[in-house]
Amino acid sequence: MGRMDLSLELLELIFQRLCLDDVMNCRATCRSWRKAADAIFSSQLPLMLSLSTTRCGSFGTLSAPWSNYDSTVFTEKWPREIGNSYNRVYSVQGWLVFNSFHYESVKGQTFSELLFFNPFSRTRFKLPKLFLFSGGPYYYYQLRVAFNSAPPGSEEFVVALLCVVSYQENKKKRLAFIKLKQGSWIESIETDEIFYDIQVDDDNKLYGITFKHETSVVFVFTLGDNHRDNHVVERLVMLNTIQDIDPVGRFIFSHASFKQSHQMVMDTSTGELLLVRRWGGYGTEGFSVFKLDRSNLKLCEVFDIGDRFLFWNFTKVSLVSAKRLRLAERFKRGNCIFFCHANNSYQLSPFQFSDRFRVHDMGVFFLADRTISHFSINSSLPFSHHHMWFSPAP
Amino acid sequence: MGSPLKKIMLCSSEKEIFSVEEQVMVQHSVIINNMIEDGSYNYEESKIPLDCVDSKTLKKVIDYCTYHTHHHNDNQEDLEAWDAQFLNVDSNGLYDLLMAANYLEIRNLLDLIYRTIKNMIKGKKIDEIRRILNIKDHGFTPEEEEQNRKEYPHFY
Repeated sequence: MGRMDLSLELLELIFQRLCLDDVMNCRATCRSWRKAADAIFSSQLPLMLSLSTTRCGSFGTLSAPWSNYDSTVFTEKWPREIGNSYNRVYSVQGWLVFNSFHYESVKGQTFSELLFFNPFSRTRFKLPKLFLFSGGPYYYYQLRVAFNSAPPGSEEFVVALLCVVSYQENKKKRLAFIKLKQGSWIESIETDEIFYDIQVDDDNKLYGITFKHETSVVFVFTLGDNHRDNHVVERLVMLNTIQDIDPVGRFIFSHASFKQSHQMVMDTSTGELLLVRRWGGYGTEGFSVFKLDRSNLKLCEVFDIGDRFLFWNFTKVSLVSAKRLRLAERFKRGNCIFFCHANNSYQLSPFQFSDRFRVHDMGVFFLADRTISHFSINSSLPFSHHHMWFSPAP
Repeated sequence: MGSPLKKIMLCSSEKEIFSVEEQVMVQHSVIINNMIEDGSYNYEESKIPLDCVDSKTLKKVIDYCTYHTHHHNDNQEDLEAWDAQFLNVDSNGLYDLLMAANYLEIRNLLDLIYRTIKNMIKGKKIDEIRRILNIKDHGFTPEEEEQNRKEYPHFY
């Protein structure tokens, strides 16, 4: 840079004042700028990624809905490997994870395939396809994916996949893990339970939550290499059950509503397992957070999650530490839950789909005073079926 | 705060001595303010050594602080016009000012420079940015440069 080598720190200070689009472009200017731009991207809150609904043109838009819709567009096209067939997208450590089901009619078998794609570096890798069921094609009923905190693609990285499909009134379920070391799915768990959500901790234990007789039960499985039998190491029956009444007194419990309104998240740094419950219908009214208390077998409500944030959408809730992040004053203390709900056809019936205002449900819920601040809708944001939280890790 | 008549000595990298009204620097530079407040500056003997600031840049910094001390009641438009004129320098001059302002922690000057650089970058094509900011060696390999052109086609 001529005679001037701006320190990373100074560059970051300049880039902080740029909009996301310009920061993105600065990545291509020179190497030291790229480093500073990437530091900016990775030191902020997860951004909202709105994936394009069409496979042509740009890939999607990254925006920070709490800051006047500062946004940038990924102009690069969708990777060829991602067909129209993916049905869920997750994000983990800067990767987007696309799941697709393949029905191979010759064998009459249904497989699941996970493709990892980093929209910054454009790198991608696929996990070996996982045999799910004989027969098909099925209507899928439930799909959950959980990861441990090892870097994706490393030997320690573990993926757990929960899949429930229905076929002519029959429900089939599959719970499986993959470890990349072996390069193939090393384990699957036979279980009769239908879980609502799963989580993996860094000891590679798998937690599955279910409801029986209106009582929540958490099953803990081991993820060892040689435990083909007897995977269940613990069966934790909660002595209390979380209230099934919403704040205005409506009785809401049903399997379908439980599935949509509850998700688990693991804080891998502390080993805490949190159950997050969303209140509201198409518009979010609030959240409750429960912590699994293993010694007392209770789901205890917590009213303060400290300097952490939860990022909620309908497919995943993730936990982000406020430490080392550059934060606006009102988020400095952590302790809040960001939510964004796409106009996602999986959750909405057609007549609700037209109601774009209600469907764009995004904002932040402050646990300290239990208030919600909704983010306004930017008209320039392209219409998208998939809004999700995404932390770029270039 | 020092008295308005007191002067302090600043010493550039070329060992040139600049005598400045104390309040001018105290008001703008966090570092100098701290030095004066904690009593580490001796009015009889001390010269504040600024080894990484050359005379030309130091003179500009002092001009900036002096003007803003004496004209802080001017209307915003006039101040902005003065600032724009003040920063009408080449990219090396701008970098030198940025480093000096950063070293002396002159926050409003830093902000002004950041805003200026931001406006220089904003919406520009990559070759323009490299030219304006005099970036001769971008440090990318030909393959990476090729990748960039694919990834940021609108930017070239």
